[in-house]
Amino acid sequence: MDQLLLGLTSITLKQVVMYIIGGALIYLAIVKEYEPTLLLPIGFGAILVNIPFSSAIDQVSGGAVQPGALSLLFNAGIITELFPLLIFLAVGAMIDFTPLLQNPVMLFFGAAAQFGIFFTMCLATLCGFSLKEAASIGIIGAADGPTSIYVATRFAKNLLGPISVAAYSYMSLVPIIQPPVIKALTTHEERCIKMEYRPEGVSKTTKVLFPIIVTFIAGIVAPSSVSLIGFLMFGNLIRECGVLNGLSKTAQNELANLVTILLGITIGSTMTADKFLQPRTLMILGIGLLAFVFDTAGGVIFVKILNLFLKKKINPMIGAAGISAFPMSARVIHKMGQKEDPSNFLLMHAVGANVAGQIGSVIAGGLILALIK
Amino acid sequence: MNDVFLQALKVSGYGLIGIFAVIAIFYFVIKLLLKIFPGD
Repeated sequence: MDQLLLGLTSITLKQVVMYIIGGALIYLAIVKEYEPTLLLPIGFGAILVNIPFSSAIDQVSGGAVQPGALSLLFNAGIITELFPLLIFLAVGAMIDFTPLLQNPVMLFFGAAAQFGIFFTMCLATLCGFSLKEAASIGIIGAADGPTSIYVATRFAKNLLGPISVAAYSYMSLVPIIQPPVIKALTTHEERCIKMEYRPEGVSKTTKVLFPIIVTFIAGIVAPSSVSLIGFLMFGNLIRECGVLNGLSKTAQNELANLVTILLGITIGSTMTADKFLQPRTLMILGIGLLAFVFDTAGGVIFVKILNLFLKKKINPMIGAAGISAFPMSARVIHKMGQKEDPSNFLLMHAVGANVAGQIGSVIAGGLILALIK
Repeated sequence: MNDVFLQALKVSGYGLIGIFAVIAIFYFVIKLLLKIFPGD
């Protein structure tokens, strides 16, 4: 009987807190539909690993390590960086770069909206984090979950849990975080600026050459980014080549779903009470939120500065779509534009900037990996 | 100022310059591709 009750009597207060956190993540995933594909497995994983003597993670028994399934997955898929890279492959197969190729100036908004990463990195160092930890926290602002996980795996494995939770939670909160920041930085007249949309045809050759050339250039400038950008662009090449439709569909569906299940629950396995319930976790969540705010602000302010020199003004809200949260950010900007003026259609411009944000965040991640040794 | 902060500032400076430089190259590459292989 004592043996059966051992688990129950071994539950600590910290573990109870983790059950509540895990439950909250599952609630947000199911009821609020905030990034359910990741928050639900992360939440469940958090509960799983905080059950006393959980066989899901490695346990030391009689001096010998009993391997746990989630620990094995962590070592095989996260430590090796395999899971985030496979997610990149799937994302690449899902992205249509056409709106960006039709209007390549949007690329610059994808760069400007990465400002928050660098601002947050500096801020995090002032809060006592090491440079590598600060860089991993800053990447939360890229609104790009796989890049956050990839950089954290290289630089701050101990912070992987809180960084992943922050990255995916805030990505799902884009409709709540972005509008007030945009409104604070723009006037009604600016938000009503209409932009002409002239769709131009993009040849198949351009669509096929684009991922190859981007990988090559990014690889030459920052070799550390080759696997990040390479897997993203490989997925896109499969999509655009026109002869691998079966592989493209598999990457977009089966591969994405399988890896997402494994990635989510494995990330959850890093959320053991002793590692997660620390003041640093709260700091990461707070600083991560600031990263999102400053990314949005960076994009908006960049467009406002550009507008000082342009005859045909750009709607500053488009700058905010330069973050990587695709397609949520583009939808938010379009809705905001419609609210200000129902005859204003910003969707295609916002999608172009949003797709550029995908490239921008990966380049930013690669540069950070290259610049910090 | 602590050393780590100064290092972060330096990385941020190079990072922002780097990202705009890479993106500028992509911009000109796309422009060139669109010119060489105009839309169908």
